[in-house]
Amino acid sequence: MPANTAAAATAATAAMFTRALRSDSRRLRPHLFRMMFAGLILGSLVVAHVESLSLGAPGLFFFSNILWLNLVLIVLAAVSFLSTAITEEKEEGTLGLLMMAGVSPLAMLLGKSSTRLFSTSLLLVVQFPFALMAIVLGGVTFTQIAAGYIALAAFLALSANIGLLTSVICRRSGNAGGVTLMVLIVALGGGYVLRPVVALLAVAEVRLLGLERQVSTVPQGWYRDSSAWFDDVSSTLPWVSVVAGWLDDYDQLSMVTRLEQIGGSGFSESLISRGVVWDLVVSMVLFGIAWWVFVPATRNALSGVPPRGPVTTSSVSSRRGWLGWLRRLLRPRWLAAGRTWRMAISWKEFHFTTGGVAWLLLKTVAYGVFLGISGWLLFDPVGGMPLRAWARMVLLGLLCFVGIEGGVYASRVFHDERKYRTLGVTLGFPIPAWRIVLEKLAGCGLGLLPALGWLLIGIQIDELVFWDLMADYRTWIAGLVYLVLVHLVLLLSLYVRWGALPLALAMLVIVVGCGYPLMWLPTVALGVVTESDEAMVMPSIYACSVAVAVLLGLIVLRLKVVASES
Amino acid sequence: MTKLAGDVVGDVPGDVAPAVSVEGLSHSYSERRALRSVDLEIPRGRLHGLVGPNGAGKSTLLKILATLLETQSGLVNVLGMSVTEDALSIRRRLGYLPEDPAAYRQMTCFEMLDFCGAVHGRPLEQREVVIAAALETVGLSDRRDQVVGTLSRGLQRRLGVARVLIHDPDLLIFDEPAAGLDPRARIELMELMRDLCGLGKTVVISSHILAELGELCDSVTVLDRGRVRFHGTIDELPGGDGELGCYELRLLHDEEAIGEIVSVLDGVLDVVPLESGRAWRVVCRSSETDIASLLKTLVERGIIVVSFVREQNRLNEAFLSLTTRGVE
Repeated sequence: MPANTAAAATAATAAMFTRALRSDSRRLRPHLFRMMFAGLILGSLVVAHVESLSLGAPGLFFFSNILWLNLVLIVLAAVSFLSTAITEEKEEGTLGLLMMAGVSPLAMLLGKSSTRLFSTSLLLVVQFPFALMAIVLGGVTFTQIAAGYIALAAFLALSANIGLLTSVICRRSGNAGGVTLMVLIVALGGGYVLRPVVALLAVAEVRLLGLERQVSTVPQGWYRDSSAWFDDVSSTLPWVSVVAGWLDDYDQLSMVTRLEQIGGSGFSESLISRGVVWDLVVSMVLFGIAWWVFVPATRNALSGVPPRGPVTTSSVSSRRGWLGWLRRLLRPRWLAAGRTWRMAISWKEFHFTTGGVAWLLLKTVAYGVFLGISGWLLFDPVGGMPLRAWARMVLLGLLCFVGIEGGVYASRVFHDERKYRTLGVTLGFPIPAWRIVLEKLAGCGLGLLPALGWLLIGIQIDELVFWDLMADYRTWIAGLVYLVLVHLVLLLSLYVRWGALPLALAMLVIVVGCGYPLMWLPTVALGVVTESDEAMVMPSIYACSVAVAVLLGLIVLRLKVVASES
Repeated sequence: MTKLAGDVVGDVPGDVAPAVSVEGLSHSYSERRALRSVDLEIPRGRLHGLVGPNGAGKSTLLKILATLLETQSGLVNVLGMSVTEDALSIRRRLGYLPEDPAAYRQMTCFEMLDFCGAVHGRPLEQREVVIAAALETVGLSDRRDQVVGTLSRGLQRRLGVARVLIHDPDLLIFDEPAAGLDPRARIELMELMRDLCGLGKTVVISSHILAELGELCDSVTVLDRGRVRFHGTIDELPGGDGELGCYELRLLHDEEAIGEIVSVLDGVLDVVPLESGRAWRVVCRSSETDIASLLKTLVERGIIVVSFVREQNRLNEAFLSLTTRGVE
C-alpha cells in the first residue's frame, strides 16, 4: 500500500473512531447500560458472599457465573450491535456517501468495527476490578481470572469479525444478525451442534443404501452421547469417523471447553490457550475476507427502499421470449398481494412482514419436510427411537419454530415502520392504537399458520405426549414468559434501532434469573399446601399478567410519542 | 379537478362550525416552547396559508390539528370536533400530508392507495374508481403498478397528495407540499388546491414559497417563535403602507460582494441572494433609504445594474416585517 494511501486510510479511520467515541461518550444510554452491568456484577458478588456461608468455593462459583454471563452478552452484542456495522450504512443509503467522501473500504471496516469493538470491550473492562474481588471470596486465582478475560477478549474479537463479515455480505441488518447468530451457535456449540447433524446424515445414508442390518439402529439419545453408535457406524461409513475426529479436535479449541476448564477447580494451564490463538487467527482471516469482498458486496447497496420480499406486483411482465416466460413463472400473479382486505393492517402485515402467500406455502412444505424426514430418519419401533420420543421431539421442535417465528415477527412489526418512517402515517389512520396493534398481531398470526397447522398434525402422532406437556405447570410458565417476551420485544422495537429481540431476551434472562428466587417460594408453597400443579402456576400467571398489562400500556404511550415525532 | 367517485356530501354535525378553531394553544418540547397562546380561526372553504421562519411552530400546530400530537393547554376544534375527544372522527374527515411524504414504499402505487382507502372504510367496489381518479388527478395513472420506493421524491410527494385525497376529506392539511416538486408539478399542485377549495374543501398549507402562497391563499397566519404575528386575509396584511420595501436587484455580472456594499447603507435591513450572484433581494425601510444614492453607490463601484424593481408580493413584505431573524 502506498504511503499516502495508508496515511489517508489511517486518517479516515481515526476520524470515524473519534466521531464514534465522542458520540458514545455524549449519549447517556451506553453509560447507563455499563453502569447497570457493573451493578449486576456487584449484585452477583453480594449474592456469592451470602452463599459463601454454605458454599465451598464462592469466589470460583461467582467468577464462573460471570464468565458465562459475559459469553451470553458477547453473543447478543455480536448479533445486534456488531453485525450491523455496515448494513446500517447500506440501509440508510449513506454507504455511497462515505465512499464518495474518499473513505476507503479498509478505513471504513477499521473505523466501523474498531469503534463497536471498543464499545463492547468496555463492558469487559468495567467489570474486571469487580471480578478480581472473587479472589477474596476464595476458590479462584488471579491466573484463572486473567485467563478468563483473555479468552473472552479473543472470542469478542472473533464475534466482531464474524459480525463484520456478515454485515458486509448481507444487505440488511436482520439477515446479518441471523447469519451471525447461526455461525456463533456453530462456533460455540462445535461438536454439540454438528455431531447430531453428522449423525442425521449418516442415518440418511444408512437408510438410503439399505444398510440397516450392518449397523445398530439409532439410539434414543443420539443427540447427546452417541460415541458408541458413532464407532459402530464408522466401521460401515468411514467418513463418519474422520468427521467425528475433526469435531473432537474442534471441541478442544472451543470457547465453551475453555470456559469449562477455567471455571473448574485446580486450573493450572497457560494464560493463552490454543483456542485463544485460533480465535485471533480466524478473526484476522475473517477481517481479510471482509476487506476482499467489500467492494463487490456493497456495489449494489440499498437505497432505503423496504424489501417487498416474494410478493409479486400485479402487473404482468410484458417481456417476450423465454426471459419473459421465466419471469412470469418465477413471479406469478397469484403471489401478488391482491386487493386490500377489510382488516387492512392485517393484510399489510401478512404480505409485507410475514412474506405473504409465497412464504406461507414455503413454510408449509418446509415444516412438512421436517416432520417427514425426522420420522423417516429417527422413528424406529425396533430398538430405535420409539414413537413417543419421536412425537415429543416433533412437538417441541414445532413449538420452537412457532416461538422463533413469533419473536421475529414481533421484532419487525413496529421496527420496520419506524425504520422506513411510516409509523406516523399508520398511527394517523382513523383506527385506535390498540386496534392497530391487534390487527398487526393478527396479520403476523396468519404467518404462523403453517407451523401451527403442522403442530396440530404433530399432536396426532401421540396425543398423550401433548397432554403430558399441557399437564406440566412449567409448560404454562414458559408460555406466559414467552408472552411477556413478545410484548417486551414490541416495546423495545419502538426504542432501539436494531436488536430488539436479543435485547429483550437478555433482559428477560436477567429479570427471570433475579426474579426466580422470589417466585420460587410462593410457587412451591402453593404446591405443598394445595398438592396441585395448577395452583403452582398462579403466582406466575399473576406476575406475567401484570407485566403484560404494564408493557401494553407502555407500548400505547410510546406509540403516541412516535406518532408525534413523525 | 376530477370529482372523486363515491363522494358523499351531507349534513354532518358540526358542519356550521369553522374548519379550524384554536384558542389559547400552547405547546412545549422539554425546555423549548413551540407554541405560545395561539388563537386562530379558519372558516370553511378557505385556502389558508401558514407561514413562519424555521422553528416558528408551524409543524407542531399542523400535527396538533391532525390529532397526531396531544394538546398540552388550550382548546382546539377541527371541523367542529374537539381534537382531544373526537380524534378518530376528525381523522375520518381530514387528510394530512406531512413534510416527509413517507409512504409504504414496498407497495405499488395502487396497493398503497387501495390500502389507505380500505383503512378509511371505503368499500372495495368504490376504491378502484376512486384510486383511478386520484392517480389521474396527480398525473400518476401510468405508474399504477410501479413500486412506490422506485419513484422519484417528487413523484412520491404527488402520490402522497393522492393518498390524502383517497377518502375525500373535508379538511386537507399540507406541510410543505411543494418541496421537491419541479416547477410544472408545483403549478399543477397549486391549481389542484384551488380546485379542491372550489369543491368546498378547506385547505391549510404550510410553505416557504411565499410568492406562490401569496397568490394562492385567501387568508394567512404568520407564526414567529410560537406566537401568531398575523392572522387574517391577504388584503388585511400589514406592510402595505409602503414603509417596508422589498426590491429585486438584477446585475449584468456576478457580484458576490453586493451584500457587504449595500447592507451598510442607511435603512437597508437585509440583502439576500435569489438565484446567483446576479439576482438579489434588498429589504429596506422606505423612509430611511435613499434609493437614488443606493444605485449611485453601485454605479460608482463599477457594478452594472440591469433592473431594480420593487416587488409587489405583500406576503413577502409582511413576512419580513412580522418575523424576526434567526431562531430561538
